[in-house]
Amino acid sequence: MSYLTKMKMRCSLFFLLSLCLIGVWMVEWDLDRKPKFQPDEESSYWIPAEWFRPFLVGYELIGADFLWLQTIQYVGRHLLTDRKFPSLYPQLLRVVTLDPYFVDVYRLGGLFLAYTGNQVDEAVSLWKKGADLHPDRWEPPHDLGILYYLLKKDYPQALYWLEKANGLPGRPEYVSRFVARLLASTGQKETAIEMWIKIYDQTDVSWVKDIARRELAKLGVHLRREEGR
Amino acid sequence: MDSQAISTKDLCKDFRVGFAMRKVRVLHGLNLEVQRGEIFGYLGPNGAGKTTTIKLLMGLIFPSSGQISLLGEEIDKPPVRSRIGFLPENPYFYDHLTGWELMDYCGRLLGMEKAPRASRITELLERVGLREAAHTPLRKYSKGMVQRIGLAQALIGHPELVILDEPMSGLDPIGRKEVRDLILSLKEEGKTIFFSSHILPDVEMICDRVGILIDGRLKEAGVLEELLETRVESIEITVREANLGVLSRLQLPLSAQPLQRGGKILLSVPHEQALQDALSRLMREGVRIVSIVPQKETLEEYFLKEVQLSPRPSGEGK
Amino acid sequence: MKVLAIVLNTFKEAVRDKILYAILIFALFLIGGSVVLAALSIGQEAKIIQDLGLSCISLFGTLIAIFLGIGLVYKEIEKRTLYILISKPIYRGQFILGKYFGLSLVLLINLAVMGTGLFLLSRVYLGKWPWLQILALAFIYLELLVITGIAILFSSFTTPTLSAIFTLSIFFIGHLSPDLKLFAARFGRPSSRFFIDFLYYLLPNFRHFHWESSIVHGRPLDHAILIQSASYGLLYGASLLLSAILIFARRDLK
Repeated sequence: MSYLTKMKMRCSLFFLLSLCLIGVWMVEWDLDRKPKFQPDEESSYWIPAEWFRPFLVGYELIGADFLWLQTIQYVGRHLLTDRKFPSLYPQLLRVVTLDPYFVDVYRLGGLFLAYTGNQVDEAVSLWKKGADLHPDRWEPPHDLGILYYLLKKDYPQALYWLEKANGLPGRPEYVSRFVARLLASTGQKETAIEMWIKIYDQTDVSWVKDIARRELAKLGVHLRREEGR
Repeated sequence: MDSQAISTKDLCKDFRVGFAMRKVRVLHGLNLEVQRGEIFGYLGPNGAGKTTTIKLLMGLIFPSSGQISLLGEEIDKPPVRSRIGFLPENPYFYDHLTGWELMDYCGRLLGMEKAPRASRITELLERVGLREAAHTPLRKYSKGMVQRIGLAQALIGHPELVILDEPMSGLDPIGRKEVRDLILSLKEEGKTIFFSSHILPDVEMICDRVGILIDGRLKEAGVLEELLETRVESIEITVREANLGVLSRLQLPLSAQPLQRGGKILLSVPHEQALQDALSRLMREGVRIVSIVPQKETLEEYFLKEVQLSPRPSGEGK
Repeated sequence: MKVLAIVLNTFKEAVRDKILYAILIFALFLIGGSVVLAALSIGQEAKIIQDLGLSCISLFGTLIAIFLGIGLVYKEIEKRTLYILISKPIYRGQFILGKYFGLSLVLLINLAVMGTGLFLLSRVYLGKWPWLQILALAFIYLELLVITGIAILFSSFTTPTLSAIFTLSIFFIGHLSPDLKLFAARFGRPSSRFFIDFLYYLLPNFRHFHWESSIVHGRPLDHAILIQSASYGLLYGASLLLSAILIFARRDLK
C-alpha cells in the first residue's frame, strides 16, 4: 500500500471519528435540554440502613461516612432553599445504625433537629439512642437535659438528664450549677443547698463563688466561710 | 545395595475421563527394571503411557496399584529425590528468573550450601554451554537453551539416576548430538539414565537397553543388540564388474531382485547358508565382491512392526 | 531453608505482577483523595480520613490477596514449573507453605506502604500519632491472611475462575456471619437453623477482625477479646493451610 493511500485512509478514519464524537455531543446536549424524570429525592432517604448493610460487607464505617456527608449536603441545600428537613431524622438514623459510635452525629444532628428543624421529638429520640449506646459519654444526657430545659420546659426530665451528665467524666463545669438550679426549681431545696455548698467549696474561681453565694442566699442560706460554718 | 535403579511391580494407573468420570486404564501391570549404570531408552507411540510412567516415577501422580522403587527406596519419601535428576517434556521455567537464579533455586531446594552450590552451578552452566547466558532472563532463552538449562538443573545435585522425558524433542541435529554426548558422559560417571524418546536413531546410538511401551503394556524390554540380532532379515552382497545376465545364469539363492547402482550390483540372500552358496558361485565365476553386510532390522522397523501388531483402542491418555 | 527458597521465589514472582502496582497506586491515590472528601464534613476530617484509609487498605489488600492467591498453585501446575519443584526432595506441604508465606510477605509490604501513608496523613489531621492504627492494620493483615488461605485452598484443586468465585463468595458470606446467625435464630424450623448454624461455624467470621470502629472512635479495647480474635484468625488460617496441604498431597499433577 502506498504512503498516499495510507494517509488517505488515516485521514478518513480521523474524519469519521470526529463525526461520531460531534454526534455524541450533539445528542447529549439535546438530551440534557429535555425534561427528565427526577426520582423523588426524599423517598430514597427513608430506606433503612439495615436493608443495604449486607452489601457493605464489613465496610460500614465508610458507608456511614458517606451517608453523613450526604446528610450535610442535604442540610446545606435545604438551608439555602425551603429550610424544611423532612427526611433529616431518617438520614441521621441511618448513619448511626451503620456507625453507632459516631458521637458527632448525635450531637450535631440532634442540635439541628431540635433548634433549626423544629423536630424536637425526633431530636429526643436520637439523643436517647446516643445515651443508651454511650453510657460513658456526657454529651447525649447533657444535650437532652438542655433540650428538656429550653424547649420542652420539662424541668424534672431536664434535671434527670443533667444529673446523669454531671456524673460522667469530661462534662463542662457549668453542668453542676445547672443541676443545682434545677434541684431548687423542682422543690428539692435541701439537695440544692448541698450542691451549691459543694460547688462553692470545690472552686477557686471567684465569680463562681459569688454565684454560689447568691444562689444559697436565695435559698435562705448565708454562707460565712470565714467564721468556719 | 539394590542393583536396580528403577523397579516397578504390577504398576497400574487409571484416569477418570469425561463427564461421567469413566475409569480408563492407561498402564497395565507394568513390570519395569532398569539396572544401575545403564542407559535405558523408553519407547512408545504417542499415548502409550511413557510420560505417565515417568510422572509416576517422579511422584507427580500416584499409582492406582502396584509398587515403585527408585534406587532401592520407596518413592513416597522425598529424600530419595535428592539422588534423582529430572527433566520433564517441553520444560517451562519461571520467566522472571535468569539461568543462574533458576539453578540457584533448584540448588536451595536440594539443601545445598551456598559455596558448593555456586561452584556447581558454574560447572554445570559451563558443561551445557550456557555460561554466557547465565544472567539472561529465561524468557529470552531459545528452545535449545531451555532444554540445556533443564538438563543442568537436573544434574545440580549430583544425582545417581537421571530421568529425562523426551530430552531431544524440538532440538536441531546439533542439539541432539550435544544431548547424546552429555548422556554418554553421564554414563561414564556411573550414573543411570532413563529417558523416553520418539527419535529412534538417537536411542539406537546410545542406549544399552530399551523398553517398548504400547497401549500401556511393556511389549519388549532388553538389550538392544539382543532384540535386533535375532532378526537378521537378509544379507546384502555388493559386487562389481558383473552384469545381470551373468548373475541370473548363476541361479543364486536370492531373496530379492538384484539392484543395479552405478557400476555395482546389490544382491540379497535370505540367510547365512544362502550366503555361503552364493559366495562360492560368485567366486567360481570370478565376480568381484565388494562387501557383505547383514541387514538387521532397524529399531525403527522393529518398533513399527510391534506397533502395527498391537490393536490401538482410541481415547487412552498419555 | 527449602520453604524459604519457595517463599522468596513466590515473592519475586508476585512483585513482577503489574496488577499489584496498579492496585497499590490506586489505593494510595484514594487514601490521598480522602482529604478532598473529608473537607465536605464539618469537623470530622480525621475520622473520615482514617475510615476511608483503613477501608481502602482492607479492600485493596483483599483484592491483591484474591487475585494473586487464586493463581498461586494453579499457575505452577498449568505452566508445569511445579514438575521441577516436586521432583526435588521437598514435601508437597512445603510447597504450599512456601507459596502461602510468599504471598503473605507481598501483602505485608503492601500493607506497610499503604499503612505508612495513612499513618502520616492521620498524624497531620489528628495532631498526634495514631499508634492504635497499627493495631487496626494488624487485624486487617490477619483478615488478609485468612483470605489468602481460602484462595490457596481453592487454588490447590480448581481453576482460577472458580477459585475467585468461591473466595469472593466466602468473603461476602463471612462478613454476613452475625446476620446469618440472627436469621437462623428467628426461623422456627430446626433443620434450617442447624444448616445455617453449621455454615456459620464452618465459614470464617470476618467481623472478628474489624476493630476500626473502636480504634477510630477512641473506644476502650477489651484485651481478652482482642487476643481471642487474633487466635481465631491464626487458628482458622492454620486450618485452611492444613486443608490445602492435605488436598494437594494426594492430587495427581496431570
